[in-house]
Amino acid sequence: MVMIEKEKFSEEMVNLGEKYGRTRNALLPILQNLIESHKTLSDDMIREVADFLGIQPAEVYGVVTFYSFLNPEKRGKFRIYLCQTICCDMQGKAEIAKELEKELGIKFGETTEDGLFSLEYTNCIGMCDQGPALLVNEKVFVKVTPQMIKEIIEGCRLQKKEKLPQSNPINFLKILPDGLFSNVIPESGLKKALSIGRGETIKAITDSGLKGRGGAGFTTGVKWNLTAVAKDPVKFVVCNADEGEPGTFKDRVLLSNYADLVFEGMTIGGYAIGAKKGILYLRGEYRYMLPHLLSILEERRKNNLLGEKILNKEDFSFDIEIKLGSGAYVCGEETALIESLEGKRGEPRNRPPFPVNTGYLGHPTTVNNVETFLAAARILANGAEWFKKFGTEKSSGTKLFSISGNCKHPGVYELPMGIKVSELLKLVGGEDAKAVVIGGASGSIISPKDFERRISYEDLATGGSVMIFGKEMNLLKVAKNFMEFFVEESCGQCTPCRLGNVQLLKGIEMLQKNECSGQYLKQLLSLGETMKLTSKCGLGQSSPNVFTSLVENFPDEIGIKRED
Amino acid sequence: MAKILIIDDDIDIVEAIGILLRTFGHETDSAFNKIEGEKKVESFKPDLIILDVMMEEADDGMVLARDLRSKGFEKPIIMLTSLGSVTGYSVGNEEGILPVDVFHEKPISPDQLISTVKKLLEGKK
Ligand SMILES: Cc1cc2nc3c(=O)[nH]c(=O)nc-3n(C[C@H](O)[C@H](O)[C@H](O)COP(=O)(O)O)c2cc1C
Ligand code: SF4
Ligand code: FES
Repeated sequence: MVMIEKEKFSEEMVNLGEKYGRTRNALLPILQNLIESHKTLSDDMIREVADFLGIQPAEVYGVVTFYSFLNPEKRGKFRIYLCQTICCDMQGKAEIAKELEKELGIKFGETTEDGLFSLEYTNCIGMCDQGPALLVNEKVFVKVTPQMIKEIIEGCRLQKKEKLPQSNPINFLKILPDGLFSNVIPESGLKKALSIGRGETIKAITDSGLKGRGGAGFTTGVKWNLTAVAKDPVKFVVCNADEGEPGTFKDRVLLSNYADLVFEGMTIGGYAIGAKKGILYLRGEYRYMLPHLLSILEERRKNNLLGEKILNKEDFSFDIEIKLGSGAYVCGEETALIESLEGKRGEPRNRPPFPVNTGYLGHPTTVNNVETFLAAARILANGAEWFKKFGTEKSSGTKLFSISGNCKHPGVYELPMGIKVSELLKLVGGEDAKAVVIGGASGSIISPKDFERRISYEDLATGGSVMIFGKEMNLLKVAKNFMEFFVEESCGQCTPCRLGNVQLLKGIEMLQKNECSGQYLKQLLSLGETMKLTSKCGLGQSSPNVFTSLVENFPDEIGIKRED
Repeated sequence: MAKILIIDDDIDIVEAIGILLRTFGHETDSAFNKIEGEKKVESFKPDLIILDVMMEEADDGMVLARDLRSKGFEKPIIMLTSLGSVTGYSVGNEEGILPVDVFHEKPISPDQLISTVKKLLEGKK
């Protein structure tokens, strides 16, 4: 950097320091701002940032290279990210990709000479029910057509917002009449919690049987109890809004339409466990929602629903802050998320210790999914018995499902837990399905013989993603798409996951070319088992699922028989 | 002397505490999980409960204590936990979020247990 630039840069750093603090956990927001204004992160900038925060440049570099949205290479003023995940692929991604390359005269991974546009692929951006989808910087475009590409590029060139095509995300949500969104009286859950006290609040959650809605299905009451008895004056509530599992987009709809209920749930959580601070970790792809969410938080502060002495309760103060992710799926794993909040590479931690006692900055932390907090708010308001009216013995309540793929009516549906796959398919117009993937890229693929099974923690568990594939769909292509996703998203910390996914991908490619022997297929399945057993986090433990269940349930699609 | 119910999934602890309490003239009974514990409270009608936190679920003891209180059980409850040694973290009941009379980390010395039991039984009489 030349002298004058350096002065200007120092000034910029001071401003960012004032806004985000001068500690390590300010690193991500600082880098996010810098890349926004400079379109690159040069070695000089990295050194300056390191100096400013009193850490090593290598640490900053390590972070910069971990997150796809912080890619230090020079990029265009308008960064176009096209979703390459299967649902968008099925909805015409290839044609859009061609159109983009043609209009811009560059390939994916390149930047136009005038520095105006760069073109990249990205993984599922949570618009699977309205693909093909892409991001231009933080703006989302859905149901993109070749004609729209022309208009988008024209609008950007002219730098005129009004020239851009109108294409806002549609938040389709079908609810149950007496379900989660029935009888909503603002803040009735929070008021109830404050009136019955902390112990009784947790008891209500325990009694409801609520299990985490983020996928792993851990009992929420247990988590809250363990955090509540941890003896530390500083505790945190973290809301996981990283929603990166391909085919999952319910949290996007909840935060768009019901953010108040989510924040109410976080506040109840804060009260119950004894935290003064909550953090919502919002995936970078949902940055477009940030102004909306911030305005709701501001409104809540004005209404004494956040801040000091909430609803005049003498000893209860709580506030919520929003932190943005930067394009890394693994950051949805709760310990990776905490690392990310601390300004580090989003690499999952060893457990134990668990976040309930050693979480954010080493303090007890409850991490829950967006929907879990919303459900908690509703349980406090309507009572545990109301919640238990729905679902099965071990899977109480209703749940939101993100439905995408080959069906007439994709979108988000509220349904009772324990619903049969066949019932769900009928509801969304997907009766002709040849295969359904339950639980996203890390879930499993089932065939019609399993359509009478139930979606619940006892049987087919899911964080809510249901992808439907019709007769025409080549299922090896689906498995390949998912495996490419995992190869890209593995944090690389542990060998089974880092190398295993690559081998499974190669295996799928061999199957596609009819070059895989039955003996080798057997080895691949055994590799999958090893990965499930030996990977450090849920990513590597579940990435082989779709492949192994495909071999199990669709021998005809594989083309060969495995040699048992 | 009093009727004391010990609820813990660790049979060694149940036996050791049982022997100790019986030496001091108390009558004891035991249960090894939450559901059994709930039943024994009904049938044995204890004057005091010694309750473990982690059984089948990591918070079974906490849930049971709250359930018993909400059903009207008013006798003293001593909660013993190895939660801290399992998690390597300091745990307690400072804010009174659990409806128990004493919250103690395991191990507890025999003297300490006997004097705690004595104090609670006198206090509630
Ligand atoms: C690779 C990976 C990605 C994950 N992504 C998410 C996510 O985007 N949102 C989420 O709520 N949980 C996600 N989880 C699960 C979290 O680790 C954690 O279990 C969850 O946030 C806890 O909240 P809950 O109990 O309310 O579900 C992910 C787990 C793994 C292993
Ligand atoms: S399993 Fe994969 S994502 Fe998880 S820690 Fe290991 S390498 Fe990283
Ligand atoms: S947004 Fe493209 S698959 Fe989800």
